[in-house]
Amino acid sequence: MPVHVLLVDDEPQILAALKRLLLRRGYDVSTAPNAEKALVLLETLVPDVVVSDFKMPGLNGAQLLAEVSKAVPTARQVLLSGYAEVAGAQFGGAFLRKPWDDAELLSVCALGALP
Amino acid sequence: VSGEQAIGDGKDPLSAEHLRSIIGFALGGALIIYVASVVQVWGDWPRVAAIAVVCVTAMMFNWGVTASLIPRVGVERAEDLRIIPNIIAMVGTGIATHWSVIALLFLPFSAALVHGLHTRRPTIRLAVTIGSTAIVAFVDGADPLLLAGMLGLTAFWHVVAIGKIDFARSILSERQRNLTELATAHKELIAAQQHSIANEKLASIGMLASGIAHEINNPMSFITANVKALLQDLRDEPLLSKVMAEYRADVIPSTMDGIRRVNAIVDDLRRFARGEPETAVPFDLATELNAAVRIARSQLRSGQVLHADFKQPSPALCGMPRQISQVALNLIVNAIQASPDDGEVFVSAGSSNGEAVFRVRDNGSGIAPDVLERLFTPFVTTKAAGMGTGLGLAVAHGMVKAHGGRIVVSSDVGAGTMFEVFLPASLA
Repeated sequence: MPVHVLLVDDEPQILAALKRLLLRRGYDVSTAPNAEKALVLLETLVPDVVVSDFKMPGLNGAQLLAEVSKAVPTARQVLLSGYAEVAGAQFGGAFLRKPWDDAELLSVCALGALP
Repeated sequence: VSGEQAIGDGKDPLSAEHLRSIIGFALGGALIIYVASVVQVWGDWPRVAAIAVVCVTAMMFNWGVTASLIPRVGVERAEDLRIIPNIIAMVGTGIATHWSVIALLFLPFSAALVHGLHTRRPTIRLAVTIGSTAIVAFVDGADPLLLAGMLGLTAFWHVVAIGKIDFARSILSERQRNLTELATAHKELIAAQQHSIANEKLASIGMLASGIAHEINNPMSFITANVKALLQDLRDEPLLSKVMAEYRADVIPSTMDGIRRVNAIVDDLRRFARGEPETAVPFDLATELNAAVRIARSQLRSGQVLHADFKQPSPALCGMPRQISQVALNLIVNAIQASPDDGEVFVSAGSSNGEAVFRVRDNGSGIAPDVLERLFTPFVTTKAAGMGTGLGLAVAHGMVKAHGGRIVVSSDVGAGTMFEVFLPASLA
């Protein structure tokens, strides 16, 4: 079973770039343009990893990941943002800065394969 | 009574102008005594003539001292010289009137107004003038009782006059002090206002910069990722056309270089706006400064010397040590770049009023006042195009401010510059 990653970002080009990177490495990828659409997807989908932007219209990334903790407690959480100051926000996941480092992102997503 | 020059070092608040205003009274008073003396001996023409000659001579001499002698010999010497005509005038008038009450009035009159009360030794001059006149009067047969009375009156009058002068002087010096204090307070207020305007300006530029930085950062993140991926894919491709091979070897790598530069600027802008959020930890200032000095040494040109002195203890600090060493590195590298080929850069640390402080000093070209004003504004640089973005000091300012500290710059064009970074001691 490939690792399933859910990507959430309001910038389609970022979704496209991340998706291309992960698909090539053999991940299954779903995308959502905002937190609300992501939560709808999570009703039927059980991703291993959720990578979310922080600043989005509607719920922000931290709020989305808090919901993810309830809906899919097993999912690894990654916050991907240019806003370095959200790094201090209390949440149980990893923080990556934009522009991201491919190797770093892949190593965080690889953790999704762990039980 | 006179004075173009004030007493001593020129700080006497009792200026020449204050004293000039009583010259009129002095001359008027003397004239009244002369006229009264003339009236007393009216009809005895030789005596009238003698008094008139004494009067005119004395007044002219007194006036002349004021006008011409003081500028040449100074007020003290002029006052000394003025004793002579005044003794002659008093003795002359006394002899001419047989030492009448009117003539003897000159004695207390002298004490009231004349003999340069504003100078250093008025009492001695008065004693000489009055003493010699009294001796002549006594020998010449003046009424001893009257003479003694007049002398007593003279002494009393002199004490009063000195007291009045001292009183005026104290009031004036207090006024002067108040004015100085007021001027200082005014200056401080203006400086504080300018400082707060500058800070506000930097804050609003910071918000603008931060907003722009985030807007640029988002597209830059996928541009970076895509171009990196493209380069990687081209490198993985075994067979490329000549054109694509050129892209792989040259075009895409230089594009990546440009992307890295844009990202670095965006990064700096964000740090200028807020400072990097790291967790605050206790740290040792000297350790961080040593790290900065080590890195900065690579920037020294041959002939340049970097002195580091961290022997003085500085208070324990809590904050983001990497930021502090980055600020120090920035200041040291700037100092090296501003220094001549045989220049010296001094880095030291210590404490000042309970705060930690480190100083970076160079003997370079200095900073022009107009640049000094805008020193911490982003994109202000004196370096050649492409050599500096003008963000270094702006970022340093943001970081030091995030620590609750401040940067103080003093610079002499042609002599050098000193940056002082003050950091509040940790509460722990």
